Amino acid sequence: MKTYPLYEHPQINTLKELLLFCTENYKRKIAFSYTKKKELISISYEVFKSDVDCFGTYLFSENFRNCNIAVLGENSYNWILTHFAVTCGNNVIVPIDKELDRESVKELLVDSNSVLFVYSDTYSDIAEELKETLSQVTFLNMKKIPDCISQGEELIKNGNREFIKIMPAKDSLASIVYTSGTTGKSKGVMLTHGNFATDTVATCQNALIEGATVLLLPLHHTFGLVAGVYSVLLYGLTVHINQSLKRIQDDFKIAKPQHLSVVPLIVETLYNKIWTTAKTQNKDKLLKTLITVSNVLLKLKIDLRKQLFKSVIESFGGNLELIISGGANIERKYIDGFNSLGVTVINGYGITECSPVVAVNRNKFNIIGSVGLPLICNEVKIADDGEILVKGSNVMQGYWNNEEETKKAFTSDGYFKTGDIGFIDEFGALHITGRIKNLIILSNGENIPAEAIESEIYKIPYVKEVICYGKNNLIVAEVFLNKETENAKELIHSDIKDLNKNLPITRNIGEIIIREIEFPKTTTKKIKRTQGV
Amino acid sequence: MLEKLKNILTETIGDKGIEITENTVLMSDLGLNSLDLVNLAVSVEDEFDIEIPDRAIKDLKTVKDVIDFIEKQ
Repeated sequence: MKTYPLYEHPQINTLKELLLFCTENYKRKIAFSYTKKKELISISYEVFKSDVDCFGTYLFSENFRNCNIAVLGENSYNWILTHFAVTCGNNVIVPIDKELDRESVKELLVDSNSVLFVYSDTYSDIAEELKETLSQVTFLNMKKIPDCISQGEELIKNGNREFIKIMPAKDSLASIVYTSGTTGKSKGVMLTHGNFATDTVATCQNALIEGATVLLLPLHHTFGLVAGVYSVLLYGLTVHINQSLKRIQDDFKIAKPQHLSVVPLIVETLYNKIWTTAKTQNKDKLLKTLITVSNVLLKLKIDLRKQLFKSVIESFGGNLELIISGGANIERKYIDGFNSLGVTVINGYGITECSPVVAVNRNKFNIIGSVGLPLICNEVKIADDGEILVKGSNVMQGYWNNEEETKKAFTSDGYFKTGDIGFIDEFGALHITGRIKNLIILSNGENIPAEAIESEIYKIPYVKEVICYGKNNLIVAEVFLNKETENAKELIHSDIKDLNKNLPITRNIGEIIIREIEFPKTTTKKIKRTQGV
Repeated sequence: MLEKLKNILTETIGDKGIEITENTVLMSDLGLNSLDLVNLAVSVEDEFDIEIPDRAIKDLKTVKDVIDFIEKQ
């Protein structure tokens, strides 16, 4: 197998340049669509640019310049609009994870020095509570954005072109993205316009996308932004915004996506749903037979998958051809399973600090088991201990207000230390084999510091030692118990069950392993973390 | 109510041969992932003609939590 020339795209250095390029080239094509009270709303590239200019002009008129602005909300057009109106005006966007509780949101607003907090109505309870303690922050409910646009439009009509004219530099800071660290404390990853722009273009040079997509990834993740929005805009396609995963099936029917960018959890769930539905309809045996027949025909170079599995693909809208998966490892059975049905799954690898895509497989050069060829914007090498190191124009400036962590994150010759272990094969494709860091990575892309869960388990008085790690997409707690406590081996199951009820759902412990002997230790008496890697 | 929920759970995730009680923890006992929970919420909404806001889904940790939510509605 051989790779082939990269897909061609213009050089784009900033998010503003991306916006201008799209408006110039795709004008009246539909950039975004979504449903509102069962009505389909479509926004052209021209209208999007105009909305960005109007909202950005409004923000300038309210003196929000050279400042940090936080955004919190479910995926929506207003979220994306806020993102562009902030960054294209040389302000810095701070996306907030919508799963965070009020106190964590407050911490991030304070840590990032955000002066404006744009939030969706769903989170108005959090905003109302924070208003009382954060006097330095202005609060803006997204419901008011249409009014802001009208005000901005009026200002532009009266000759105010300050926002429209501004051109952020390639190395201007565009975003501070908070990510979970190994110690549990969030670190703000500083990403520039150039980081995002070059990563987007390079991703599109590796992977060709066609037709509409449904945006399923949360926008506060850089993968959601780069793969789910920027790349789609660069190709001049339509992003149909899924505002709630509850409406995923409706959105598939409306948007008829040809490609999806998702995390493995979604791939797995969609695939399992195919089989659950087939079983309910008593068609699972028929489906298995058709797949066997189709696979034989494929070996004879006869491809009848579109005809044979039309009704299966219909549940995704009928046009689905490509799934780009990233954020965690994906099991081969799902790649093969979808491929049998005529949907190609290509795997990629990224990390927020690299904006985030580092490598992605190519449509016609898909090395199964790998995360693909490194992007042209970064150089990837493997350290002596196996750690994947990255240098390139997509690598972050550093961690916000955290020089110590920034220093630790880079080698002396300027490579970013990903914390992942891997190798590069004879085709030049990158493979991920484990993690140096103690993060537990579940297939939904959640990164959970093991220490955060361990500290909770240590609160159980008879737990002497514990380490946590991910296995088969579950969090495993391996414990060594105090042998003097009666019934400890029975009690631990009910105590962990109680603990699960109080932990966030993504941090629930799925398996308990009881050790008979204590853990092996390092010379400094730290538990050796050999499990889970 | 519990019987109805049991049926919905079986339809959503298939019959896993696990006895479902009010104390069953959805994720760790039944192996549901966050998307399965969303699917469960959609089925519960349809069956009981209620609305479960997205933010409330993550608080549904046990079968009893789901029953309590429905009763409050």
